[in-house]
Amino acid sequence: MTREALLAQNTRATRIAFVVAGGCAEFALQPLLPFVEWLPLLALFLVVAVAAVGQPFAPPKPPPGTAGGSASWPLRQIVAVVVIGLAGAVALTRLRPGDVAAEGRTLALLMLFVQFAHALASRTRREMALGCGVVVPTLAIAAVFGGDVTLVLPVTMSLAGVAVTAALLHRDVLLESTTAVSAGGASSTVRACVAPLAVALAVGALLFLVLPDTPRLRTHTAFGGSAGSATSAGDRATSGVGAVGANTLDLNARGTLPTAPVLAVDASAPQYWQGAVFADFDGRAWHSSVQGGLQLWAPDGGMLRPGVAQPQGQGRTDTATVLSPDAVDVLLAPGTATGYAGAGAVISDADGNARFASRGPAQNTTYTVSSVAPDVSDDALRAATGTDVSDPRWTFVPSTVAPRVRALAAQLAGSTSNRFDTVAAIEDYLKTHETYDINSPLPQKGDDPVDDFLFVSHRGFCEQFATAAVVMLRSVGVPARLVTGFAFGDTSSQPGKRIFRGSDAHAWVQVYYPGVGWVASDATASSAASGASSGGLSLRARIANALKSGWKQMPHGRVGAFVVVCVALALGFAGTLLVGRWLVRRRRVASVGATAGDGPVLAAYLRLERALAAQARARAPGETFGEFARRLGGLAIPAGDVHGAMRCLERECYATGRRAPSAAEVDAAVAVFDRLCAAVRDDVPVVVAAGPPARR
Amino acid sequence: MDPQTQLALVDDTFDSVPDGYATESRSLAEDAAMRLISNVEQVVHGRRSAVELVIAGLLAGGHVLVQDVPGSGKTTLAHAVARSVGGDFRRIQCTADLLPGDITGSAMWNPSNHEFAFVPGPIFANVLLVDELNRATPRAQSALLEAMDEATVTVDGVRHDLPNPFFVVATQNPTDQYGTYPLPEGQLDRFALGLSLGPNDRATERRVMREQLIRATVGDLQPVLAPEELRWLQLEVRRTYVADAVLDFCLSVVSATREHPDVRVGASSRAALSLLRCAQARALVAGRNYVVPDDIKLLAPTALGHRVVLAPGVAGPVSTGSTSAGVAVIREVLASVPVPLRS
Repeated sequence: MTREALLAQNTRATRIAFVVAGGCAEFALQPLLPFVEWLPLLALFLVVAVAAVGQPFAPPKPPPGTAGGSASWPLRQIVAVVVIGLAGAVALTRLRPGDVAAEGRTLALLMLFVQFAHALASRTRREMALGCGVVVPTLAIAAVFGGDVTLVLPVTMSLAGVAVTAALLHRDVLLESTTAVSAGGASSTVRACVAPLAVALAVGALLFLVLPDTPRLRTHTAFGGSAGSATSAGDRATSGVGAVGANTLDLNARGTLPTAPVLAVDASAPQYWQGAVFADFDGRAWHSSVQGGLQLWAPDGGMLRPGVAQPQGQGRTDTATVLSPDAVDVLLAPGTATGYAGAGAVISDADGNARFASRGPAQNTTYTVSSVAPDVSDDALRAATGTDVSDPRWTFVPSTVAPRVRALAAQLAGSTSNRFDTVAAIEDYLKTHETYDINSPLPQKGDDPVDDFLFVSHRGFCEQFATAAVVMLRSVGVPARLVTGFAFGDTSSQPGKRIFRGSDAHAWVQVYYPGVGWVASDATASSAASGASSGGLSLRARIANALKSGWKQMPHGRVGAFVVVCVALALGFAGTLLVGRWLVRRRRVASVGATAGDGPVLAAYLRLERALAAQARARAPGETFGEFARRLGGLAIPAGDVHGAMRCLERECYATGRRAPSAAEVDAAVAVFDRLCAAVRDDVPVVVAAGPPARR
Repeated sequence: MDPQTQLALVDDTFDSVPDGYATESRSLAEDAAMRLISNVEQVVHGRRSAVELVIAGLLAGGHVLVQDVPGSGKTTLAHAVARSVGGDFRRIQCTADLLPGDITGSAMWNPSNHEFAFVPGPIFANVLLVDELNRATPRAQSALLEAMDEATVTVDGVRHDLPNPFFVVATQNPTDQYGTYPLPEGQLDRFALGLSLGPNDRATERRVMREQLIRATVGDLQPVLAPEELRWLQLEVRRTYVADAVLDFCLSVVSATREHPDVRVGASSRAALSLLRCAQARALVAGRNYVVPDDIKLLAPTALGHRVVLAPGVAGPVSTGSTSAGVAVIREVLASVPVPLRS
């Protein structure tokens, strides 16, 4: 490919294509998200990218008769980066308040790609270094807002791509060094290209390891919507006692995540507060209905209508303050509710469902609830014996559940001898093989959500985890059910209080143990670290987990192949263009014997001087550029070109910034010096007169 | 006359190359300089480099000393430059009996109001041509010292400001001629540039003869630069950019003169400043707003040659004012000081 053809490629259109290709690759990396959600993001990305590309990449072309605007180049880049960052921040707050993680991650990736494109398309080493260096704050933003291992894969791939390219360039420089290039040129190139990448990688890895991954613990269910939605209030008004509030949990839909506080309890109270109990799964959604004998608690705490056997377990009494402006329609308790004192009447059934008969406590009112929860050790659970629960509802599995789900459950349970170990085996399988993702793709309407979660997407939130656990447990004959409520909460914002917010809504599993009762089990990945955080894990284990989950997020099937092809194409395209550009510019970039502050023209001139020195025809130390220019040229280059290049060199070395040579002049001057340099190597005389006689 | 001192200094081959890079139109300063040069060249031939040097000194706000044998055209040159600049023009012909009062002016008795009144001397002018300066006694020469340095004169204890701009162009005969007084070092240091003209070649001389027979003489020259314009140009010169590398080069040259074995007293700090100022002016005339080492190299012999005090025996019986020997020393110094490419 000729130099002109390569130079012709270096147009603004090419650079925009760079960014668009990066955006497409990123778009392809998240193919399982609903397309519609991506349209505004994609549009925003394109606008930002085009703005970023058009503005700072436009080579300054000063009108004739005025001084060039070259001095403002770095300033323009900084402005562009700041604009990108601001746009990202604004979009973060505007797009979907409360769901920061997804948009933050997305925008961080967008910015990352813009900056990579920027770095790749830059004209000088300084710009390239700046572009690569800007990746560091981007990674920081991504780590803060993303808080998700999803970042690891694309970031690693991008960085690796650029790093490999830089290494190739480095090799190119080394190869050239066999002729005329000293090691100094190579090392300066390495400094410019690899050092920012190394810093970016180090800082990114450090941030990834240091920053807490608490955002991943934020869970939500459809239940969360009942805390503040007007529709649930309307449902209650029309449906009566039998179908109170959110009694359906559709796995093919996603609830909203309000951050408003719902309930305040004592900080020492248990982390899990259960609300609704779901018994019936139809293959698509969970349904909760009041079953068996009902009991009714009066507002004063008295038992108006006893009729249910008391559950076993450790009893306790808690006081809770309702913080939500809308009534909470289920009675929240740290176990199965056995007594209530507060505003409104509560209906309770044999399953442990406890719902307010009419309107629940108003905002900022307090109620007292008594509850029981089994408190037994693991060994006691292993040894639990007695009569099992007889109701077939607890072991019912809908016929639509895929055979491979049943087969997986049977395989997991096959090696265990008791119920506790079966539960632990299934729980461990889910924790290690599936990834928690609050924004996991939802299965299409009509798809089997359990099969989709276990074998296709491998990503899900608490509902998917709990549903899969219940279905697998039931398929091997273990009585299990799904419970919704609130988990963990926030103990730091108010001293002595545990605050549950809408975003703390959670779904988990309860398993029946004979002689013990319903015991909670939470299969949601990484929720094991809920209380003790992940500090218990070693650094190595955390890295291993991150890599494992990152690998698992590689999409599968045809979509996965598409993604891989897209990424490979984008990286290959970028690499090819970069290497092509490098071939054009390598003489400029590898500045020989130059110091870091030297401009490209001086670097090119010094290469010429070095080549001339080998023939003892170099400029005398006391000779100025102007004097040397008169001796330079010969037949190799028209004298006018030489004088122009020397004048450009003179301006680069001695003129003020306002008169610094423009990019076009720099390119032309470097080309002249490179041609002279080549002529020197070919033994074409370029110095036409003897230098001044040496004195003393 | 040593041919080495022939000041073929302003080699314009480099600056006049149409390189296609400098797209800006010719600057006002360049234009003004061109007007001056072409005006002067109506009557002075074959002295292009000397004319440009004198004009550089003029724009730098310094004073110029022209030295050569009588009849070589130095008065014509000085006169032509002086006439080309508008404003008041005076001429002082120095002789051995010239008194300071003849230069500065003196208080005269006014019988009508019974008071002494100050009558300004010829020094109160925008351009002052001091012809054959070294024929005046040191006492008379010293009358010029304060004027050239501070642009004021003090007569009978009263300070009088000189007009602005104030430009002195002086001529001097070689000191080995009869009836001259060597200029003291202090006086020489007041001159920013000291240049020799050297002999004309035959063709130029012939042309001069021919034209002198028919063409206009110096007295017919019209001013082409107003005093306000000159003031503005002098301000522009002060704003011309000097990179650190160029400044270092200038200081290296100046300090190298102090270490040269043939030099007893090297160039002063005032010499360095004056050299930089002239280099700025030369850059402006060449259409640049920045100084390059070429400017320093070009002007250093002229700006420093007359200031260095040579070691005894190097330049004959007189150790100062011998421009030719000083210029040779400065040229040696310039060849030994490396040109910095970056600061």
